[in-house]
Amino acid sequence: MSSSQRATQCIVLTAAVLAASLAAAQTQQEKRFNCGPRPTVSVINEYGPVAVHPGPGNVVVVRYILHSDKVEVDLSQSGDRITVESHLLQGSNSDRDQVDYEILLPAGSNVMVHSNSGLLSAENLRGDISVEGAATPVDLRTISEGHIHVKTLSGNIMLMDIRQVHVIANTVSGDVTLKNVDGPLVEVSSNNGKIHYDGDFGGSGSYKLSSHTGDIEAMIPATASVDVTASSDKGQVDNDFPLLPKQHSITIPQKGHSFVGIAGRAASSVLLRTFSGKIRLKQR
Amino acid sequence: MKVMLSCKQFEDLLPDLVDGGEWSADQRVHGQSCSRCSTLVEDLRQIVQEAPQLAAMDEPSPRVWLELRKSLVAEGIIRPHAKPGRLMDFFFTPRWRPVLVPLGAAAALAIVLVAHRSDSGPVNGAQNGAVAPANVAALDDEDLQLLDEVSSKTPSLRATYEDNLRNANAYIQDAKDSVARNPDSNDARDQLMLAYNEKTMVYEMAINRSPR
Repeated sequence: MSSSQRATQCIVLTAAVLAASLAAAQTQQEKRFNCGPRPTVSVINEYGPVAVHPGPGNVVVVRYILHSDKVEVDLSQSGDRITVESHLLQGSNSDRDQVDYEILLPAGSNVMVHSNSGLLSAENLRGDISVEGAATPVDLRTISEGHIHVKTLSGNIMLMDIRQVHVIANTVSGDVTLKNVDGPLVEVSSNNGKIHYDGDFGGSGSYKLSSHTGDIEAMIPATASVDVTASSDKGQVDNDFPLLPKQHSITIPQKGHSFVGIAGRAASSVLLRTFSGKIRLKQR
Repeated sequence: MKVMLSCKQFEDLLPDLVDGGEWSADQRVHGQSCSRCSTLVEDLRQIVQEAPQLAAMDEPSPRVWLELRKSLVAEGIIRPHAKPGRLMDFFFTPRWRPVLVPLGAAAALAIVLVAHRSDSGPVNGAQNGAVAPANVAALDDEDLQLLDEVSSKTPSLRATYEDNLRNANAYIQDAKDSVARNPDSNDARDQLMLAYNEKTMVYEMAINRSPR
């Protein structure tokens, strides 16, 4: 056997050993809990993504992949309250020791999710949803009826097709994107991230989008029914939407820094406020 | 010709409305034309409904409330010579105190933090081995303690928390300047509260959720 052949065999053997040890470390497991139609499910992850989807029947299915033997998962059920928590063991190497979760549950479940890294996502649900993460992006789609509360430090927040839901989303430096989001109360704040709203501010709701230095942009259709107040202490405001003047307003518009006006029957109130970011209201 | 109520006159009549009283014709006309005031009534009624759930909490002594009020006046969040019946006095009546326990604690914490920073002077990131850009807000001693706590448990998140604490501090400083320039502006005071809330959120996330 030539030296090159021996070298090749060594490489193949080493790769096989590494693959086997990696497979051993990445253990996929599944646990099922019978429950009612509206269980409360908490998922507390140290590191790693959490994806939540509706599943068939009154069952909560927790699927998870352990990426290392330095992290373990505790699962518990007390009536309709189900808790899933991963925690790092001695000698863990922080974010390498992540757990990936996929949760299937009844669509009416109340869900609380936390992780320090990895995408946190949920879709097609109609219960209350609370999501919190430090550097984690959050993606919530097709949610109805309940309340949504999102908090991140630097993770971007995407909310899409959220109908008739109370929404409170706060981030310090993440961007917030809202597409087709409406509800009786929608409050979004970001310190220096951008806030982008694309929808009709429907539902006779109260909408407050605010930032410190981040820009705020809203795109609404010509049919929108809104009562808009926009102000930037030190930044510029720009309105491309044909608003009518308000007869009674507590805000005195300052050219270039604020504007007020109504459209349609002014069913929803919209407050766009930033300290030094730019505000732009556009017609879609 | 009848003159429509101003927002201030409407606010003076708020306690009766929130207690479940009927809208007078004048109030109804104002409420229909002013979304801000009608939203305020709805919010206050909701608080009235939910306040009993907080009634079981321990109430601080009257001295604490006086000190808190003094701090809020000093910060410019409320005005020192508000007439009886104004909105903030309404909130400071005994029946509202259970609601103010968590709110007051958060505001007081934020105020103490800011005041302490003013006393102790700026502490920049050089103490952490990092140099802060000139246009980024400084960190105070409490912030540094929090960052030490974060980095002892989750070293990879220290930079994230540090950046976001600086952002929150910059927001507070800008909002405080704005209140100082416009002491009668509700908008400026709202911004200051938002800024404090943001910093409180960073602290809560670090303390409540850091890995054990």
